[in-house]
Amino acid sequence: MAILYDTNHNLRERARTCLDNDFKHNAIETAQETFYTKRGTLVDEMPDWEAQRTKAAAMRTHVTQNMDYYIKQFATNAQANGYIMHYAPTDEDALWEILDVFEQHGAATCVKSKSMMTEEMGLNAVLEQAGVKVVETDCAENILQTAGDMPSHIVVPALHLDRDAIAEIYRNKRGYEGDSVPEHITHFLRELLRDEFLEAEVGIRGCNFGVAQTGSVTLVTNEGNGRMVDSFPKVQIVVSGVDRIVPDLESLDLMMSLLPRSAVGAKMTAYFTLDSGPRKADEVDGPEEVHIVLMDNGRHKLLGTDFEAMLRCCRCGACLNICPVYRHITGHGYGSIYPGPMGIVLTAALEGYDNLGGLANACSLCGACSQHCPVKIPLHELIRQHRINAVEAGAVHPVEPAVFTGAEMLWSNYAIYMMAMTVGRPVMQAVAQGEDVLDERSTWIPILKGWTESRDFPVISQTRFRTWFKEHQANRAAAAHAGSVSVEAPAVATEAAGAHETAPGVSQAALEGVGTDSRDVASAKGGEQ
Amino acid sequence: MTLGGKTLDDLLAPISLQLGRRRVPEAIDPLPDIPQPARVTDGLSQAQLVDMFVDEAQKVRVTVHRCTVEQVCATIARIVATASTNTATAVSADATEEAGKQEAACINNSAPNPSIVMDATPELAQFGIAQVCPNVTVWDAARGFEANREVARTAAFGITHAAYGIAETGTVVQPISAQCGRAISLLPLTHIAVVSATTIVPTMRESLAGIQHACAAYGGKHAAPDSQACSEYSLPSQVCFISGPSVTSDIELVRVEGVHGPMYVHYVVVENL
Repeated sequence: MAILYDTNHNLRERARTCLDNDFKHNAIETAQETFYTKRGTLVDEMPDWEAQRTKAAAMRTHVTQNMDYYIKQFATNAQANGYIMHYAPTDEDALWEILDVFEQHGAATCVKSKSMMTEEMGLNAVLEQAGVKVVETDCAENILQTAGDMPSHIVVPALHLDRDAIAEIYRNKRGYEGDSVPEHITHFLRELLRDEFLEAEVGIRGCNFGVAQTGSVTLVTNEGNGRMVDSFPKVQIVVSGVDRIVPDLESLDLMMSLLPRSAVGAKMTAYFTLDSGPRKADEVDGPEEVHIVLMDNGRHKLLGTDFEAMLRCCRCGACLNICPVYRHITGHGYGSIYPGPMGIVLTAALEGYDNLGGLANACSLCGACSQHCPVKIPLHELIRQHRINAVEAGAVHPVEPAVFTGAEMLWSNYAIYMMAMTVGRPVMQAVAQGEDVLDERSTWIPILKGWTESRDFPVISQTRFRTWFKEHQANRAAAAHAGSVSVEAPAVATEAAGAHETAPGVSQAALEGVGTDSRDVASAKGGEQ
Repeated sequence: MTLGGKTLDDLLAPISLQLGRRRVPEAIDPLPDIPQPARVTDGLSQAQLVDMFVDEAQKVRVTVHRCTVEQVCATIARIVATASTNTATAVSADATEEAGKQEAACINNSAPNPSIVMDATPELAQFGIAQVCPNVTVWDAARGFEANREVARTAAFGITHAAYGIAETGTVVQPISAQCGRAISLLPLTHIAVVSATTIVPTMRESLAGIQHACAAYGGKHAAPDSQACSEYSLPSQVCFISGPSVTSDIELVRVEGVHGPMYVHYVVVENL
């Protein structure tokens, strides 16, 4: 199992390390903004993005619910195309099949283009142990492989390293003599890897979508390394998850109208290849022999559960690019090869709750991921479901149930609640030393430390919301009584700016909704009064 | 349980079980019938599609040349001549950053008499490019893998005939065949794709349907000798969708062109073919 690569640290420890690395989370922040802005422009240009999403979600759901049928159709047609099929219920089965291909050919060299399934099974380490030279050919993957590092983003995995660090890696390990200009490093890689492509015995690649009706496999790339892997080694191994299948070419087009836009904010990637079999008898380049390894590795267990929707995922990374938590803790914060919202859902569904180290808590449940998902996976709801399941499975910190029991008591008993507020206010003000928030100066208090060492906690407001609301209603009634017509002219925006007194009318409904909750709203809203 | 050697049934059994059935069904409900969502190309005339194709291609840093059948040869000769005498100005005219200059300094095509590899399709042969450009080698399956690969590896330019252009994305669709190997549009530093304006389609969907239809017309068997699209099986061994130069943003999100494939891409759009 190599989905979780950092089980020695829990979420809190990993997040701390990432938060301390300014370059890393600034780089992720820039990437998020770049991809997000470009995506937004393209989505706006589409006449009916929502209809596109709806259609894609329906198609992917249909495939998921008929997964056995479509796998069989894909496998049958792929075989008819001349592919050699291998079936791997588990990652170990897949490793076995792949090693077998190498053994059959006595092959000792291979070039790889990015494949999450091979990451999942930990293929590189196994091949290297078997004496095979493995060369990752995606620029970022090559950087990480050369550095012995882990990916921090699913689409641009080496973002956490700056140009100087990357230049240094190649100077130390590959004899690079140039400067730190990205163009120069990249063109050095072009030279370095070209011979590897032309000489490798085996090419290993992933598969973005398998087409059931035509028995085809596809690859979406920008750099062209996928095409190189697909053109020169005589033997090729395609590794695909069982959840990559679309019914036909029309469905493929539908997914391709969503994937590059969602992933990197481009209408198309530089290359997209649709392969339907090895090179034909009269062709001279392309692989002579192609093996497809179809791997399940626990995916079938998601069928019929809350997490079935996750099998619709096309690994675009749109949910990462919008996630406020990912923005700060970066890919490494998750400790899984699948980071971000999709990573939490998938990792927990495949790995169970025992070794997650609080992974499902790396989410503010804001729901932006679900809104941006091209196949409408309700990611934040599934993350919440994981939390519920984790608690039911007993995979929580022993203090947590006690805290919630206490909170339940506090919030369900008016007298105790009022007492806590009455005592809490002066105590918090004393600790805050005149500020209106508790910040890192209060970390000496054990129960507050967990929160205030990285976040501010607003001090309970002097004015209770109910008190304020009564006054507000009285003022409003008085104004209406005075015969003012302008009561009907609301201004919702000013409410958000904190100017309650100037915002009668429309915002009242919202305020009343909140007001029925026995919480001190002023403090919940960050003590804006 | 032993490792490896699992059958399709071994893979499918737990999946069917989880779906609540004993075996894979013979037939299933059809795909949900949801109308095609509107696309930006809806209702455009062929001329408008061609304009969109040109625009979109330029956005992904393709140099586009529009010409008539009679001008194809001269256009290609000019691309080759310009690129080989002054790479920097020829290919980086629209580069906004310093990157353009650095690229040019890093790799260029400025050999005195650049070699050219060209596909062997009749569509391309009709222009007589080999008669105008010196040093052209035509892809020849009879020479075998090594020889063809070497030709492509050492060539500065690769010229192919594209089956379709896609207006929405500025993409050329390149089916692979005995006449057109994968290396031609991949190994040379510059790729020149010739595409007929009449074959420019709105989206990927129409191009995929076109290729599938062309193959079905031959019953999934051997295609007519003049077709790029199919031979032995129902679809070409590869259909490659190309949209601009090989590119990466893996180092600090800086866009760098010419990673593993071509650094410069030209489309020659033939208006009256």
